[in-house]
Amino acid sequence: MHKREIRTLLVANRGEIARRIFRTARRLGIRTVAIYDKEEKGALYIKEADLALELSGSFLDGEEIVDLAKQAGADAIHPGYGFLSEKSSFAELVEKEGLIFVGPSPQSIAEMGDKARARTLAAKAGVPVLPGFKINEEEPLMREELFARSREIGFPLLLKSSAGGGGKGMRIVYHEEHLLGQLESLREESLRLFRSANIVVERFLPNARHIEVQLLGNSKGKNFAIGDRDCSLQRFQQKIIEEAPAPKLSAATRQALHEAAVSLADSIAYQNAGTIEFLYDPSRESFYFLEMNTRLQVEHPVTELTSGLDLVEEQLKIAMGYSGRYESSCRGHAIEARICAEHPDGSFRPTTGTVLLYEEPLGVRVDSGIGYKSVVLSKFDNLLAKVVAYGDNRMEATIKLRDALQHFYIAPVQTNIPLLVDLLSSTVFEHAQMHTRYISEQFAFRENPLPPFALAAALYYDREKKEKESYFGLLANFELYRGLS
Amino acid sequence: MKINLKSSVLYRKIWVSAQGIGFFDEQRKIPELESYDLEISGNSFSFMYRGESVKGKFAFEGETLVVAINGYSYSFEPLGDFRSQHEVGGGEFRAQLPGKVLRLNVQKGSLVKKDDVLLVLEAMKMEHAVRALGDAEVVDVYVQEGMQVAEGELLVLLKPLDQMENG
Repeated sequence: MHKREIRTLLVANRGEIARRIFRTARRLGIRTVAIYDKEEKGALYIKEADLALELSGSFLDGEEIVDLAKQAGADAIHPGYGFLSEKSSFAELVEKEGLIFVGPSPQSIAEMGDKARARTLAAKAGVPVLPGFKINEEEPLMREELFARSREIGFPLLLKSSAGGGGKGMRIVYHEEHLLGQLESLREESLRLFRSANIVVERFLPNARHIEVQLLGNSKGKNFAIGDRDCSLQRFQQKIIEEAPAPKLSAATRQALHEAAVSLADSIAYQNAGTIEFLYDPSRESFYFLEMNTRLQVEHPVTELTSGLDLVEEQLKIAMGYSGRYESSCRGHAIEARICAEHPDGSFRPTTGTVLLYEEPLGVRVDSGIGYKSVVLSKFDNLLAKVVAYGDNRMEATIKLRDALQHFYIAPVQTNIPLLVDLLSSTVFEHAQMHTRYISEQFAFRENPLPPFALAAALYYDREKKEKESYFGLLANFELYRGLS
Repeated sequence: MKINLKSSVLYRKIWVSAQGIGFFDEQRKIPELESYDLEISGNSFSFMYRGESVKGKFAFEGETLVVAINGYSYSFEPLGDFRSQHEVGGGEFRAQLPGKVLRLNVQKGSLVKKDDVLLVLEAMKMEHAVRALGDAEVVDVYVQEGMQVAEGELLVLLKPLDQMENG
């Protein structure tokens, strides 16, 4: 691959990830371009870019984004995560228009984006896959065969939409009698969300941990493992606490995981940053291929803090033709908590509004998309910020992160911070016994114990006393946001 | 409950009803439930709660108060500011919470003394007495017993007696 220079970079994303990519670009002397939805005018990432262009469509409108990039004089597009980051047609369009797509080749995205195809490739590369089979839209299985093959794998089963992702398009089937019903409902969902009804049936591991390997593939398609992460604490199959390295893993297993990841990525000559996700069964010390994410992950900061690498910088270097090696030597322990605009009571109901109080904690890395006066809209993902703590060991990082979360002040938009604090304080987390369904099935949500009305009264009173000496207190009425939808 | 308020400018005990509907200084005590030492410094405050030190931050945006404590976030809006009128015992009395008028003790033209119960509201399964803040005449009554009232709805209008005499 010939060397190509990136002088102006458009980020086809918003919020914290746009800010995070801009930060590295600025440090490297690269001009930055933001694109934005008109409803988000005034957001921090827009102000921080050298140039900001309004989208008439959405972040999913690839053609408009490429047009805007050309208009801005950009020579590269970084897709971030979500949106178009794993659409091979977008990567293809970007390259066709003579721009650099900061990510893998369209072919790699397409191959790994199809879950059934990825499974086949993993098996071919010698990576363990869970016993399973696929059901094609065009050639549905006969009922007898479906049940025979399902029994062969053994219940519970996991049904996955072949084109699914981001925690959508999945069903767990515990009993044979629910198989047909769940299969039908997943088919409908898959058609609606992903326009494909191809389904993968796999063995479901009830107490599995989610462990993944960070890869960097250079421009020659040679891959290197940059450590691993545990992301088992999830709600609706979406991660909320991640750490590096994965705890409680034998050196032999860790090495086997890294080798498996590298061999799969090398088999498709994968280029740029990617992550191979595995399910790890602690009772058998065995791991199975889950999927490959052909993009930068939300949780990449924990790898950056332990490896010392700036993964966005490496992505840009590889996109410009870097063909050298990576020597991975990870040190210490890093844990990330995702702050989301939602109720912490277990309902996960999203919250919105204008942020009137915003103070970040010190001594930790904060990748945030918001600040004072930012507006949290329901039309976008509710991830507001990520707090990442680093320590010599896991316990030190846990204490640091918990302390930082307790000193992160955001109001009046309620966030999941109380839940994150409770998770970090749990003995399950302390002993690294978490698994992917811990939050949804076992975690005990706590009621907020504080008496906030009285506190508010006192704060009003205090202000009033400072402003003017008056005989009676202000008669006040207080609306508590908790409990309102 | 009683809150011992400490800040750079003042040290004061105040009594707050559990829902924070009204709060009063020493002159108008309500039964003490729990006692907190609240320390305010800049936009931070701290107090001891069940043996643990709780720290929080707050900000005013106009009359809106927003508070963040231990990851919980709140927003409060004052219903209105009746200081000037209340200082002389008159003024509008509005519902501080949506609720039901349980008892109505006054009618148009009634003369009331300081601390007389004008009406009793049932809100959040609790009874809240609305009392006169001084000697006054009832100018108008806008509600009836059994009526549901919305938050902020006008209940009773009082005219302070001393003000009448002066006028």
